[in-house]
Amino acid sequence: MRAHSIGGSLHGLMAESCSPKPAPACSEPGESVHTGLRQVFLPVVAKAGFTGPAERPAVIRLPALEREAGATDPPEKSNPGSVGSGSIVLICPGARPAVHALAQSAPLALTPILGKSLLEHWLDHLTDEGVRRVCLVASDRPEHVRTWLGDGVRWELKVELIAEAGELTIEEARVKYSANDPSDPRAKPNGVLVMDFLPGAPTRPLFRSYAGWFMAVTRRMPQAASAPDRIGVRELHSGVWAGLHSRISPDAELRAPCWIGEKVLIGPRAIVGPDAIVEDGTVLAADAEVANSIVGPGTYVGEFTEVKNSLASGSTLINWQTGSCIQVPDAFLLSPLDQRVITDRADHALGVQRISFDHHL
Amino acid sequence: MKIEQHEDTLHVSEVRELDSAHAAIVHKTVVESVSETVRHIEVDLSGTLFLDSCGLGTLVALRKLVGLRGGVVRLLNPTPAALQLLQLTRLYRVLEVVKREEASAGANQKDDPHYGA
Repeated sequence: MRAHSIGGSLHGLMAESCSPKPAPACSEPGESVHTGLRQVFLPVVAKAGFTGPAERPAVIRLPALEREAGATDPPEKSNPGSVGSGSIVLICPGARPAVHALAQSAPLALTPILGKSLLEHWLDHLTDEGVRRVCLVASDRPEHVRTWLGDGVRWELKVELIAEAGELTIEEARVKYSANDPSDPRAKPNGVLVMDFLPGAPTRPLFRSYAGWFMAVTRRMPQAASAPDRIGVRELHSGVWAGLHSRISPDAELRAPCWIGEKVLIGPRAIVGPDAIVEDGTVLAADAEVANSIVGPGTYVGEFTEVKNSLASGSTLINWQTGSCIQVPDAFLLSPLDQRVITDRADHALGVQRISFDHHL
Repeated sequence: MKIEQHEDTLHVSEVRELDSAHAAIVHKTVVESVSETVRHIEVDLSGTLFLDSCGLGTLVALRKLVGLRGGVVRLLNPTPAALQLLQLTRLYRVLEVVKREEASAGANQKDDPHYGA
């Protein structure tokens, strides 16, 4: 009996030779479709800035925030998410009791949303808005944020991280990071924002409830798929998106709207959707079903397992309707892939005949 | 654990944990209590704090036992956590789930898995 890490098997799978095929004819949203296209293999375009933990002092103080000529008043009151050019103070959400389970393994700022972290969504947005400097204020596990952020050069932004003991309010941040001297360029940053919503969607708060989180994230699918910085996302059918290096069994059923991230493996007769998001590096075994749910990155969803009305990540399962949260005790049902070994039996369950474990992307 | 028989139904309650450590003894005790007149088994899960695949296996085994007699296993008032596991494994399709209001009304209708919708 061979035992390999699932990561190895995935790499092997993705290294198999396969060529892109044209997308089938579109179908109406909500329609159940049996897919013919199941392999997406496009070149990986890496972005800089993910080279590992950055060597930075424990606390980084905010440098002078430049105030550009003609900068306007903080716009967050009238149009949150639209910040104009110049500089911005961005506050990472701290504790949010209503959705505490989302922050079990990482701060909320790093919670994955459609292949990116919440912070990444914001930094991309701020870059597009012409912001040049970001003062990032983090109170929940700032060292995680710092590690993830690295030097921040990938956004062509000057990002400075400040660790705070507790989350600041907008007014506190405005006061604290504005100099007393009005001539000081720090006197008035363009705006102060709290990442409690996705950019451009201030009416959909993320952290008031699990249901709110689910609604806000699932409504983001079309916009995320069409973002210019997305590479390799293909719309297989109307409302069905799949990322790079994903392998989907021809017997699987994809029901729009649904999002399948990168390096996802979907086994035979599995059903995805409607209103389902399967984040990067996740495996859905044969006959599994995911509907009205979000499955987090690197999660194994076992054979015949049914994930509905839920947020699943690793072994954590949250019913977003009731708020009930459990740790699934049986790894064959739901588990994180980084703690799982794959066996020949599991290979069979995934519909995989032969896997080369020697090839890595 | 408390076991009582009312007419043709065996009522099992006060099962705090139904996991690998307790499933076997629960199964053995219930099976020994099943007389010839028992047709249905009701398991009150309102106080069950922990449930895993071994516990679910016990419930399925009881379902098989009474199924041969034309009976059913009803799960009464499962906790939200237990409901999540029943849905994850799709066992709500083979085991009758009776919610609190239904149980108090004496209803025996199969539970809608999309509770709270």
